[in-house]
Amino acid sequence: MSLLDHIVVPVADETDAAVTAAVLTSHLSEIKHITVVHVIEKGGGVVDKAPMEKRESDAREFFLAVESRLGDEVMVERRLEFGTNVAETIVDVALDVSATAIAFCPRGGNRFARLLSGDTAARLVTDPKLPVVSLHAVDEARLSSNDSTRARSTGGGE
Amino acid sequence: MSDEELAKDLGLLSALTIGIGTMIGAGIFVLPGVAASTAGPVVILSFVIGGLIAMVNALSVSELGTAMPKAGGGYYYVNRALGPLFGSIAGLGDWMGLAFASAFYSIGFGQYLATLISMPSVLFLTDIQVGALIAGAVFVGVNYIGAKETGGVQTVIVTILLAILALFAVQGWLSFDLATLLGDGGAAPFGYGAILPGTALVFVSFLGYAKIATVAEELKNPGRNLPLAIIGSVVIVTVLYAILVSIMLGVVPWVDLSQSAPLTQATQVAFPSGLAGIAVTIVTLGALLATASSANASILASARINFAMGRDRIVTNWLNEIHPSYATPYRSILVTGAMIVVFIALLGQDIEVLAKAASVLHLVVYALMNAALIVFRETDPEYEPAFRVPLYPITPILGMILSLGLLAFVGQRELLLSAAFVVAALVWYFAYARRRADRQGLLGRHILSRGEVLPSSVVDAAATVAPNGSGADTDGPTTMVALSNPRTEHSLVTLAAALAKHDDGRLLATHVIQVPDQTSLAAAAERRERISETSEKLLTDARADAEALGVPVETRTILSHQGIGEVFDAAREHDVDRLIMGHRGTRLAGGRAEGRLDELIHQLPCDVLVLDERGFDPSEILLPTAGGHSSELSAEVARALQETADANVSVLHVTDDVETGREFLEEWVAEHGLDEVDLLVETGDVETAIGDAAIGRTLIIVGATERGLLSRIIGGSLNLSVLDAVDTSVLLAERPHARSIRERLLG
Repeated sequence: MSLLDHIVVPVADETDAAVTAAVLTSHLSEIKHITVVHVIEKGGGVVDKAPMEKRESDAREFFLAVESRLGDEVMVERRLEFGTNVAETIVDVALDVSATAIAFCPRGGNRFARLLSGDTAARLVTDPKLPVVSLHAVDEARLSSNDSTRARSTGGGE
Repeated sequence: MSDEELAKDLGLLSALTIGIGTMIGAGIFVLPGVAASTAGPVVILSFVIGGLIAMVNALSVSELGTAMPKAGGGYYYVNRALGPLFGSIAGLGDWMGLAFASAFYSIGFGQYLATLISMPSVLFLTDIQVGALIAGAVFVGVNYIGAKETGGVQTVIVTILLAILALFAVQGWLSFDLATLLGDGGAAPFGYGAILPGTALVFVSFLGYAKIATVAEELKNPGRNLPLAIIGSVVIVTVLYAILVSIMLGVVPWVDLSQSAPLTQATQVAFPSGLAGIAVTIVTLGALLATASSANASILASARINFAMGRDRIVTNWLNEIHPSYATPYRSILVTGAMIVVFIALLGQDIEVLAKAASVLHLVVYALMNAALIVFRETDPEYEPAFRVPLYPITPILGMILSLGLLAFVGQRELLLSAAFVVAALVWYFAYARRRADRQGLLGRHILSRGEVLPSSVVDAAATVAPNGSGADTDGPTTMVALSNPRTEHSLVTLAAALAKHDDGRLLATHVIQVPDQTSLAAAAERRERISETSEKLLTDARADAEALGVPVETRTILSHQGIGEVFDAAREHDVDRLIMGHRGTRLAGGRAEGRLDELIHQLPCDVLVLDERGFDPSEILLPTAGGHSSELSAEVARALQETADANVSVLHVTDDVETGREFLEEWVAEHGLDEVDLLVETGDVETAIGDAAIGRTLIIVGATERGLLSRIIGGSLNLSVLDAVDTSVLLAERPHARSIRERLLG
């Protein structure tokens, strides 16, 4: 069984989903099963930052962005989760589906932006309960001009 | 815990603190001085009456909120019940009202800040406005970034506030003096007539309870918690206001009470000199916390209203995009923030204007909401609120009267402002939203469906203001046309429009973009960019073609992953009566699982017509029939084309015996209401007969004689060779069987 046999792939937004899917295409020979996770962060008793219905319908777009690119090659499953701690929720899903690893594209961003938005990448790799694969940076040549602009703007922080 | 439970994480206490936290900032910390100076000691009654008016409305909001725990609150109910015309007024009113309220809270914050730190005055801005602008910018910034709050923060804030107020109440009670309260002029130095204008001024202190309804979708057990939190928070703050304002006025005579920081002044007086300094600091910090939490809650609520309005296309959905990193509706927050800043800068020198503008706009919304409640109860059989207002219909009628009645006391300037606003909202509706909104209100539908019994002026009025995104014709049938190829657009739309025109229906033109199943992102993205350009052009063409025939048209782009499945889903979602697609369009499902395709085709959402690629010219129609289920549909289509496109229709029946064949045809034609048709009866091979008859004709309409004919043609497993051989265009018609579901179950 390869490390990437059944990976849990967290996606944060549509660009993230598209970029991650693009990166995963070069590993498809090792992957059998992908569980795409989007976590809607909850405060646990405070009003959400954004309307929940909007977050949910956006999540469906993110899933679609992955499924449309990889769905024909491997089994792609969706998991929409709610949690007060995004990193913990991702790990819980991975344990729940008995994934072989969590694989994600670090979204970059400067320290300040990471601090403000909660550095999920750092939390994922700290004290991991299962292998965590940080996928290599996006190969710019493979992206369309539109997606690479978006990828750069995400990478450079907001 | 299930996802559902995790998604809804606001309990009763959280909901109560949202209400209390939003309201308490204004009533206690900001307004008592200003209000007392206009009404005298009877201002206490002004607060109590404000609480009573709020209570009547709170009952209505509770009922509506438990029936529809949706983001958007008041706007959502009004739009559903009274339609997007009133929806525009309510939505924009609620939004502006919240922006005014936030500006008001920011000014309150600035007033207390100025007692702590001396702020500079800049240009035409006072020191208070400068403080308020900074505060407003910070509140907006915090919501833009969406600083992570954890459960309990709001509860802690409200608990601290209540503790501070309790401390003041106890100490204040010790210094309370009835003579101070009554002062020289008695309880009502301006007469009792000053009570209601006072209420109009302080009503802004009661605007928080409706915020609970805007986040109803996040509440646990909304049926119970929503009414408890809404009504509970109104009761609690009304009692608090009455007690604390009485104490304040018993400590500092109303004539002397500070206009900008009344509670610090009262604290200064009430506390013994040794402790006064620290008590004042605590109270001031409390005031900052209270006004900040009110402003914060208002900004959050405004984003909910924007979302609900965007979903109904009353404002652009562009506003509601979520920030990729912060997961906040940042555009909505920035636009609201810009309004707050403008209001602070232009109107911030007179806090009364901000307070009253916020109240007036909310009162208009409340009045509409009460009307909405009555409409729901009277016209919607599916309306099932968990909580019902007592004494219906007295309560909502009273709510309307009280809300509109209070408008009479706000003063001319604010009334003019609100009248201007309502006009602006109407202009917005007719200039922007009417063309886009696609949901007619219950009231409009109710009126239009009873055209015969209601006075024609009422019906005409309802028709005039109805949205024409689609809602205007919700009663007429909907013909949906699924376009995927610019080459066939004209033929398909012309056919669809002719049919829609025949039954006075409307047309829904959709462009189906299949999200490509490619693994190369570059190719996918490139193709998608190209397609979105064609999409726009295609739908513009479709609109022009339909409008040329005078058929109301609406357009949509469907991003499709499974091809035909999404097309059928869209047809179901829009309650479509008839779906028209091109032959190629049916092959959207491409190489995906055949089993699924088969299953889909066996569950047609509505009548389906498939036109091949040879164009559409209805001048000479050939309609071969052997009777059967779907031939009803082909007869209907032929009849429609006779009327709207001057088609000549020939009906063909192939049989062994000419005489019985003719009898059959005559009967069939009469049964299906076809007049002035040529009857053709042929013997021999069906395909040859059709092929011969097709010569010189422009369109063959083939009704699927057995269930699944269409599916086999679409799936490519059945080729009617004759249909490929003729030069004539072929239109396939299949009507879903009502019994197909049962058949599926029983195999």
